[in-house]
Amino acid sequence: MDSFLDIYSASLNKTGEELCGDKVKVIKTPHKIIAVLSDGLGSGVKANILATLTTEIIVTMLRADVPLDEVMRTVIGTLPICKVRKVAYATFTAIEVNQHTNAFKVVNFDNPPPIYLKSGRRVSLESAETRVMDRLIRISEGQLTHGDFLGIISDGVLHAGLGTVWNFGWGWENVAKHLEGAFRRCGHGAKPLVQEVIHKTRALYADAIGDDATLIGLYARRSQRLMILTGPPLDSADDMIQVKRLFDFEGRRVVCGGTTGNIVAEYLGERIDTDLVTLRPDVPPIGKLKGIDLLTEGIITLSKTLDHLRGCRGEDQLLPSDRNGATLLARELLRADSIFFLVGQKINEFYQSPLLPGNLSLRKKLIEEIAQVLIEYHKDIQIEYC
Amino acid sequence: MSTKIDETLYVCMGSACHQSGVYQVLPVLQRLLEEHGFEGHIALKGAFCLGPCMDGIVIKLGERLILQVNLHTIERKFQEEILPLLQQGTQP
Ligand code: FES
Repeated sequence: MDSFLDIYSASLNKTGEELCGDKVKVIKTPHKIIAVLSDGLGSGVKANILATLTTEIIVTMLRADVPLDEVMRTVIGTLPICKVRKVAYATFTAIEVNQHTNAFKVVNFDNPPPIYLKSGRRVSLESAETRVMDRLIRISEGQLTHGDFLGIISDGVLHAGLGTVWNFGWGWENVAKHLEGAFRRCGHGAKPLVQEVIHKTRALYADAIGDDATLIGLYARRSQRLMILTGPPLDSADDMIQVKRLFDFEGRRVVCGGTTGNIVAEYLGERIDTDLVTLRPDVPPIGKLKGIDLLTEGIITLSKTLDHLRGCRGEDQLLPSDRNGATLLARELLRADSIFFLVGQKINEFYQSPLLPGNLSLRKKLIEEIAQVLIEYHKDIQIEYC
Repeated sequence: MSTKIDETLYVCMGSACHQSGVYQVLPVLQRLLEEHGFEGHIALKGAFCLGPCMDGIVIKLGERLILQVNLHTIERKFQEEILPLLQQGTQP
């Protein structure tokens, strides 16, 4: 698929609270993307538990393709109602996006309306109202095209600056306007836009954040694709065929593995130049080849890359700043949206050696673990063995 | 002694050789080359897997492979195998 939905969310906890009363959950299945934001009444532990319960119910049911009105009935039927204020103990917004068509549906129960930008300009999103067990639900539908941003906020964002900078808080209109400005200033992508709004929210609250505040952003763009060739093919007669696939690939190209690199060099009729400056005690140096964006050694680098990926929790700014094969590879992976691993399965007898730790012995296992982490970070992953 | 600059010494930095301690061996090799006046005449480069992984660290000079180089053997390997090759190869 050449379209990618970039998703990022950030929350601020009410000052003094360890837990956030807003809960976000995003999952991707092969067919759809589900993002839910629930805001538990009040703050702290109780709010957190209610919001978590709400998001879990919604995500679980939507994932299982339960019809929407049934999901709503279940959630609303489950949520306790506050006796004093006569409101439910948690509000929520759920988005479902079809992975094939990018058609989306937003279901909103008492959260602020979603903010929708097309190429950085706000467009209104019509919503239909319906009642589920006597509670008002707003449903909007549409289709995301490249450059569209869909933002879901909790009311903590709107209340920022209440009584200080703004009489009634920052407010929906101003947040939407701020997003338009952010789109021009901070570049495109879910993360810069969300971070910009959350920073501003924090600033408006000055030193006391009065309410949990959250923004989930979904940004549709052309997919940034990456292909990784790692390991020599089982049958060396296939070597050149697989290398050719790498060069035919449109997107960034990475080769992991010395022997694999040598095969690619042979295809090109070139010599690999290694960059000795990147040699580290625990990571072999990278090499250079024409048309290849990154060439690293295989097993050791992959294993180290896995550590980095886990350690940085999906944020490329949290990677170590050192420039070596593993940090560069981790960065390539984090910056891509969809990653195609072409994994050669020929075994290098040396890997049975006691010099290499046990978990280094299987390229396949390493790749699977890396893929697993990347899926958690919402990447589209495809693996093929050869 | 030597006048040519076109010799390249490839040190394998593939998975196996890297695990055998290339990081520590490289500076020793650099020092030995300097001590014997080869600085500026011999290029020292890294290579990916040169083949005989079980006999790493592997160093390649022209078509010759020097095997089983490590922190303990490097001085001896240099004297007995690398140096003669270099002197031969770089003789006018
Ligand atoms: S890794 Fe050095 S010869 Fe294979």
